[in-house]
Amino acid sequence: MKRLTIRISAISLVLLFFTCVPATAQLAYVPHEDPEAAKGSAETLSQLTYYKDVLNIISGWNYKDRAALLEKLKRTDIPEQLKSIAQTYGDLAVELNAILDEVERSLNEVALLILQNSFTDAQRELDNSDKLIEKADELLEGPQGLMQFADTAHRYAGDVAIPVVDKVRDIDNRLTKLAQESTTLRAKFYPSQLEIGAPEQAYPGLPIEIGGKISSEGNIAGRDIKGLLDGEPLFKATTDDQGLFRYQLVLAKETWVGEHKLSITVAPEDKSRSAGCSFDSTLTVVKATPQVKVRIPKVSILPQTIEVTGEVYSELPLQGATVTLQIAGISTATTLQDGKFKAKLRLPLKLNIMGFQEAKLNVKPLEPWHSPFETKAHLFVLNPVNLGVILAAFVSLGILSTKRRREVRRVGKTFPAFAEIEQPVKHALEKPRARLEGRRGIILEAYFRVINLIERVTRFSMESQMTLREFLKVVKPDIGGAAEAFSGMTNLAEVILYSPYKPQEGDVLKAKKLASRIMEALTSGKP
Amino acid sequence: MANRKLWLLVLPILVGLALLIWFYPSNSDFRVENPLWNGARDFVTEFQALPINSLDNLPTSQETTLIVIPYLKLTSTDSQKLKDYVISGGRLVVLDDYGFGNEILEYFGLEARFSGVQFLDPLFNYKNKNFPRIIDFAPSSVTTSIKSIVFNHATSLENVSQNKVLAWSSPFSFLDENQNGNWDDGEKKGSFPVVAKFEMGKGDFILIADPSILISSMVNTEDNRQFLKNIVKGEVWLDQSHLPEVALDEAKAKLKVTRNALTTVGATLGLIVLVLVLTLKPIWYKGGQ
Repeated sequence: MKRLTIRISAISLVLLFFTCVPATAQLAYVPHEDPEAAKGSAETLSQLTYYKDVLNIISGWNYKDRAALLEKLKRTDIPEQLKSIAQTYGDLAVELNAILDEVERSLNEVALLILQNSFTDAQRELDNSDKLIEKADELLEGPQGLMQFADTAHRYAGDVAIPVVDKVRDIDNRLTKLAQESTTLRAKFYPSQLEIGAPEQAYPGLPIEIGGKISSEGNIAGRDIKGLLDGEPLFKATTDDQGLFRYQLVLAKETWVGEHKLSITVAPEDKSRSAGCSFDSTLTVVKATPQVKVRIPKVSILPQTIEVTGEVYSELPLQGATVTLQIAGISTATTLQDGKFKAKLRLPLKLNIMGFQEAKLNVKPLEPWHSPFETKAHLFVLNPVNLGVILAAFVSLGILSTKRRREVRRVGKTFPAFAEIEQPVKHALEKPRARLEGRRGIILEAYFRVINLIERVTRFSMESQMTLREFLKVVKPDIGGAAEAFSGMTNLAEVILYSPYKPQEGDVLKAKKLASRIMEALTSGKP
Repeated sequence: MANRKLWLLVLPILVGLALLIWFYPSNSDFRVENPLWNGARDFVTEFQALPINSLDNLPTSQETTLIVIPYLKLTSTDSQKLKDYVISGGRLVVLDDYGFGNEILEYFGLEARFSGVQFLDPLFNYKNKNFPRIIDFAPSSVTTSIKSIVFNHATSLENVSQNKVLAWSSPFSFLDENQNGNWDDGEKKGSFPVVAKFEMGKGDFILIADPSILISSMVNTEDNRQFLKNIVKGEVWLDQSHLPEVALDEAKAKLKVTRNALTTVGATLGLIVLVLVLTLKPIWYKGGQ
């Protein structure tokens, strides 16, 4: 039977195995493989061929096609570093080509302007193209330029990078050709250069001098000069035989403070084929701020007239400025004389008692080259009237409270028993002074005597916030044989203190008996 | 007595085997029951596709898509059913690489063919040249928002006019006719059509030169999912009747038939009677004695 079982099980398992074989038979090729388990492969030849093609055509394409090509490049199996090289190369080459196109356009424009005797525009266009040539040169030969890149690419990718090297060479040749063309065009007329001597700073209302010199291989004498401030005419002048000019002017007093564009232009001269030129600089308009020295009293007792004096200094002429002094809303004005001022101000009585007050001193110069100025000082102000009233109030309060305290003491002495009943615990602490009357007094006095004794024996004092029961609970372990009697005594004292019960003669006797038992127990030395 | 003991042994083994077959997952390619990497369960779940085991009763609504992977020969009746389905307005998607897709095309009277030869792409690929990456697409509703799709051991299409092609392989791909994995002289090279669309009657049909984009491990690779989403319209039907079956699938199918049969009223009643008879047999026998 066992054998039969084993045989049947084995046959079943074999059958099951065959039923689980995947259905992939009868096909010429494997229909698929598990992408998770698939291994990557580097097809170097295909990659490099494609890469070379990409580099070869990348810079020749327009921007849109180049972007599409680079997008496709991302989806190839090419190493990331090579993709990055192609991307950088493409960007640089396209940017350079665009700049060179612009230079070419600019130089064509220059040639046309020369034909039209527009030498100034031609010179400006030439300057522009020279700047572009300079930028292209930087992109080509700079530390991160295309030549450096081509060198790296060649080292990294070998012959694959030859298209890059060739293309860079083409760009270099084109740039050289354009630079030569620029020089040739410049030689067709006489460019003018302008040197300017103008201050960097100026004050409104104060004179400034602007001068300069024109240099040109053409004519320099009698050339028209125009000066502009923020595009507005500022002055006109003419050069002398040496090409020099000089002009003195006063800036309008309304000229705002800040940076202004100062432009000096020289008009072109057709008959001498001399180009015009211009020079731009920044003229900063400023205003001087006077320095003020103030002398003000340190303390003032109100009401008082205070005198504030001082001096105002400036590096520029300063006369007749208005000086305004203001303290706590009261102000006075005076005029500056020989750089000095003196101002008097009556400080009235006000609600304040004492404290520091801010004094504002405002200087308003008359000259447009000065800016108004404000300074602050502080003085200590005392108001004796308010101070006296407050002192009187405090003294009155003091007297009143002393009187009331005395009254309370007097009342307390008149009704000692009442106080004892109201505050038994407090009274218990003052037990030597207690005066108790009647049966109640006798019982409580006995209780207090006992407490006094227990306190001495146990060295534990009854606290003011303790109840009688709490005290009993605390001292009970320490008083041994007297504990039971003290418990009875505490109960009796509680009844007397907190209930309307009137003690009888029996209670008095009981209290006395309990007290003597406690004392006996505590004094016998057997607690 | 010996017979009785034999039954006691065989019956549990049979029940155990049935349970094992029932619960053991299918591992057949493109099968909807297959939850593994090569199954179509993810596709069915994601696209709520309806698996069908016969081409009878195909839908007639225009807003339906029927996906066929012809790995088994089609009868002329089957081909006619497919043709009727397309003419009546349905969308037929024929996914094939090395199967019998050309029989459908021939029946439809088209010149287009699946080349039946694997193409490799050593440059534009996913992991290696067996996984060509398709990045060239013709603008169409099928290729909207698609940047790249990935095939898995794919073939190419032939004799398709350019205006019918929706996607091409890269120029670096080649047909590996001798299956040595490298390009050799004489082997075709260049961009091959891999997806094409044709109109017929009120409907249309799309040819895709790789059915593997349906399998669970490929559905979510790059833009494959979006591509499939663009292809299907309306209700999706996935034909399972032209996929090869292994014994496990057959056994599963038979078990399913058996279970379905047992769930009918007559069969359930019969089963109850059988259990009663077997249970009461000893009592009947004792009474007789």
